[in-house]
Amino acid sequence: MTPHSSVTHRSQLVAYPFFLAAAILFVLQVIFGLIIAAQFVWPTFLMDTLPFNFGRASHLNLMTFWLILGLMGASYYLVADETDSEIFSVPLAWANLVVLLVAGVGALSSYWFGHVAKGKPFTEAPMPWPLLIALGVVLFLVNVFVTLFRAKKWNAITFTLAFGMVGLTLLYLFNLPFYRNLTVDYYWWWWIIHLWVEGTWEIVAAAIMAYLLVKLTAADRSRLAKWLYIEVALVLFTGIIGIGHHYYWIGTPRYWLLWGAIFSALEPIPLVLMVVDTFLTVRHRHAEPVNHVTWYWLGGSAVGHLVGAGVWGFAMTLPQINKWTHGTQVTASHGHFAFFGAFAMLVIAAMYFIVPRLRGMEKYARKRSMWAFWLMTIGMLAIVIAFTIAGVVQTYLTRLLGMDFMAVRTQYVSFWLFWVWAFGLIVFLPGVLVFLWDFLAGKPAEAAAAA
Amino acid sequence: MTEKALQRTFVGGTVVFLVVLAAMTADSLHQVNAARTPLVTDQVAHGKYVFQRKNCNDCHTILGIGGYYAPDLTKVSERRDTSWLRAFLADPQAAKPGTTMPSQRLAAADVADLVAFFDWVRHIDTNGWPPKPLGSIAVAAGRPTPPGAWQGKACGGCHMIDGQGASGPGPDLSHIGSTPYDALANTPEFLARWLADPPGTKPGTLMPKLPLSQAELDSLVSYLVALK
Repeated sequence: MTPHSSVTHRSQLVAYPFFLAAAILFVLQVIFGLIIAAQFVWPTFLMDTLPFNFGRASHLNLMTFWLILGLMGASYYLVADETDSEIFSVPLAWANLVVLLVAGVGALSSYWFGHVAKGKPFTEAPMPWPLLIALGVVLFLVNVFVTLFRAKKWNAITFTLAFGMVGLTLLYLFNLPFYRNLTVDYYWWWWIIHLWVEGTWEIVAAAIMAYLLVKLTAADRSRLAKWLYIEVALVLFTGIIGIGHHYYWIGTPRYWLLWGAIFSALEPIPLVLMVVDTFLTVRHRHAEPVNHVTWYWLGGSAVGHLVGAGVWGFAMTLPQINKWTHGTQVTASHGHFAFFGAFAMLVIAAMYFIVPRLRGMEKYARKRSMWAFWLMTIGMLAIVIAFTIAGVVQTYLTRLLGMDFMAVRTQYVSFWLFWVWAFGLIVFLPGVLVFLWDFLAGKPAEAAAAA
Repeated sequence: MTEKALQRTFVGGTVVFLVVLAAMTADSLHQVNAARTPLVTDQVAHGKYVFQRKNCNDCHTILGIGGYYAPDLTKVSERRDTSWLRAFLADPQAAKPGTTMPSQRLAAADVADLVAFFDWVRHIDTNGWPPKPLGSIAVAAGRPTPPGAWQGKACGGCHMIDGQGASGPGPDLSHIGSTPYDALANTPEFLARWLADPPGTKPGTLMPKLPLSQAELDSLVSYLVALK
């Protein structure tokens, strides 16, 4: 970090280690994704040292970790700026980061060296690591809330951000007990997974998006604040009961087929509004977006969010269709598209806006950054298309025709997973590496123009 | 609406929907525990603990949730009998040579508990999931029952029997046991040779060479011969 940072408050610099950890964990997440995709094609690859289940656990957990760390880094930067005050305690922010990193390393070590887990996808970390994760998040909340209360500057952005962060922390607590009944276990597990990604994470993401839009376009704050409240309200009004689309087949009552279908069919509406809002804000901007790379990621996130979460999710959300596609690679295609569009692209947008400032410059030279954007975007689109074909083929052969699962997986699904692996290795991974290089060594835009 | 009013709508509406969800949750959990799932014994609960501890769920789906690397386990105790499941879980390679399922080095008690857990899961009321494949055969009285391989290899994707399955590109096999097709023999010996390698038997045929174990091949031959 250079001492000549162009930040308004010194404590904002603490965002840098959060972003750095996030960027490195992102690279690791992609590497584990490549390993498990390869295992679909060559099943004996690393079969004894890193069996598929622990490779997948690593892939999923690294994703959650890097996104959460990225959202936290952005939050620290944003809260100081929005309240026009220093963060309550920089050492506390460091403690927050270190506790989470220790918990993360502990969880991954349990998978790699102990081959033990708590055993629910995304929340595999065995005890005591979930307790440490909860502690790390609580330290973050204390830091942010003391800052907000001391400054007494609540606005739409800080309010929704804090609302989402408290919500996602409370929901995580459902992960701590052991449930004897599998149906009851999955019931609460979806409160974490669904009410995170289709609820509280969306609220946090919307707040950060609104902040970046204000910064990029000098948009009218009260107009954006109204948009923000309408969007987050619709996210929760549709998404809370929309959880029902996970309660079709797990042993829960039949009425969820109706309620889940109706409310989840409405879930794309706020996502459409987010795209409209984003593009309208840019069209009626009061200032030229100074940082084009951020704008690309932000626009990409709005569109990716709508298509990946909205369209791909809607395509399989009705019970008449979900009955056939549930538990196939169709879900994997939606998962990759939605997480990348809604959250990864947004966190990267925040990084491209904030990290250059933390390193003492206004923005990065554009050329290399655009390589990262296009390689990742095109790579992920290709991966999603391959997953989608794999899923449709798998649904047709196993569910409709009744072919044996393993026969289909080894003879047909593996072919399309080969393309997931190949596009991941040849297109997506290079994009992520360019991004990491840019993160660490990006040059100021002015210098590039002079050269 | 003012910003303040929108904020109140957001918070108030969220509380309302959370209350609705809480009420639906209370009712759902009551129904789940009372009727929709069997009673959880200590053995079943410990089987579930082993299932989680070994992270089975990141390769296998159960109730359709989890990894898409290995077969769904919701109805596994319907497909396989208890002794087979126990033997397979104790030593996958010995029970099924060539399987990619790694040995979990389970104690005998853990194996028994896992099997009890799978048997418990089978009886959950899943609203009919997983659905019966469209290609399933409804067997009329007096007609032979198709072996598992007929469904597993999706023969019905190309062939029709008794009006069920696809009308092409393969021939209707409803009476293949009594009426030979296309000047090919319908003896058990020929059918066995045919299924083992169709293009090798009749160059240019559209019928692909399917990977069949000897047991699957035998079951298909006896089925076809019985279709009079």
